[in-house]
Amino acid sequence: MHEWSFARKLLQQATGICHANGARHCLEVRVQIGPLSGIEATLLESAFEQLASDHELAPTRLVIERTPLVVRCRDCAAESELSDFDFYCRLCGGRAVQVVAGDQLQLVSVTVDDAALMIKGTT
Amino acid sequence: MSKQVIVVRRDVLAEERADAAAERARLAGRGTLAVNLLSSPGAGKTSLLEATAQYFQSRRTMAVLVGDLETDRDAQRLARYVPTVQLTTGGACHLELPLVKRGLVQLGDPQVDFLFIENVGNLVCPASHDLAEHLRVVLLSTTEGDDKPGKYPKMFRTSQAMVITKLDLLPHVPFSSESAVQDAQRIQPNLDVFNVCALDGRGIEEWCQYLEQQRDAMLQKRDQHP
Repeated sequence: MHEWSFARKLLQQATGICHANGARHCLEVRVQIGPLSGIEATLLESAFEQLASDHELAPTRLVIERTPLVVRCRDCAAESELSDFDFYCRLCGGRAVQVVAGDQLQLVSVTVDDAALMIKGTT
Repeated sequence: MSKQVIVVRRDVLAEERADAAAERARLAGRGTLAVNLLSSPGAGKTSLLEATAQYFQSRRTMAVLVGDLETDRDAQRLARYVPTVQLTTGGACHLELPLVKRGLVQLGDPQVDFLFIENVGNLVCPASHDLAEHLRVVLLSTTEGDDKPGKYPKMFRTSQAMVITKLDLLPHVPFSSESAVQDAQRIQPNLDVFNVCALDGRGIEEWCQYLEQQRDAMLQKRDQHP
C-alpha cells in the first residue's frame, strides 16, 4: 500500500509551496492520476485525509482528477488514447510508442487562503 | 478570506527521479551496472542471484542490496557468495532511493561490475520507484500463472527484461510461456525474455551474458556522452 508514501510526499510538497508563498493554510490540493500511475484513488484519499487532519496546513481537501493514458507513436508521431494496456499506435498500428500522459501522480495546484502571498505560481 | 490558486503541474516523483538519475550517472561513472530485480514474493529472486553469483565467480564482481519487510534470511543466503546488505523496510511494501543509498554506504560503496537490488516481493508498488537502476528486470515464476503480465501492467511496462523462473516445474503446472510472453510484450513490446531454472542452471548462462552485454552497452553510452 504505497499510497501512504505518496500522500506524505504530496503533503510535504504542498507544505513547501505554502511556505514559499507565505501562506499558512492550504484549502485544497488538486492532483491528477492516470491508469498507469499505480495509484488507487480511494486509498490515496483516505491516506491523505488521515495525514492532513492534524497537519499545520489543515483543513486541506484532496481533489483527484482522472486523466487518460496517452501514447505517442515514434513512427508516425500520432497520439492515441488507450482504453486498455495494449500498447500500440491506434493510427498506424506501430508498437514503438511512448507514454506521454497517464503514468504519473501530478500535483496540479495548491489553493491557499492567505492574502499575504508574495509570489504567484511556482517554478 | 481570500483564496489563491497556485498552479504547480509537477510530477510528485520529479525530485526522486532527478536524484535517481544523478545516482545512476555516478554508478555508471564507476563502471557499475545497477539492476533492480522485481517480482511477487517467492518467484525466485534470491535463487536467481545465487546462481548469478556462482556464474560470475572469479569472472565479474558484484554486490547485492536485498529488501525485505523483516529478517535477513536472504542476505545470509547471498553473503556466502558476494558482499550483501539487507535492507529491512519494517513493513513498507517497496524500496525507495534513500534506503538504497544508505545500503550502498553500508556496503562500503564498492566498485563492482554489477549492483543488484533485490526489491521487496510485490508486483505493484515497487514499479513506481526509480532506484537509480540501469536495468529493471521482472521475474515471473511458472507457479504464479501466465496471467500476471495482464494483471500488473505497470510492472511489466516499466521493465526492460522478464525472466521466467522455475522452468523445472513447467511440466507440473498449467503455465503457458507463450501466452505469458505474448501478454507481456503487448504491454512492453521491447521486453527481453529469458527462461531459467536456478536449481539446475538452465538459462543462467544466457541471462548472465545478457547482463554483461547490458553493462558493455552502458559503458559505451557513458563514454560517448560523458
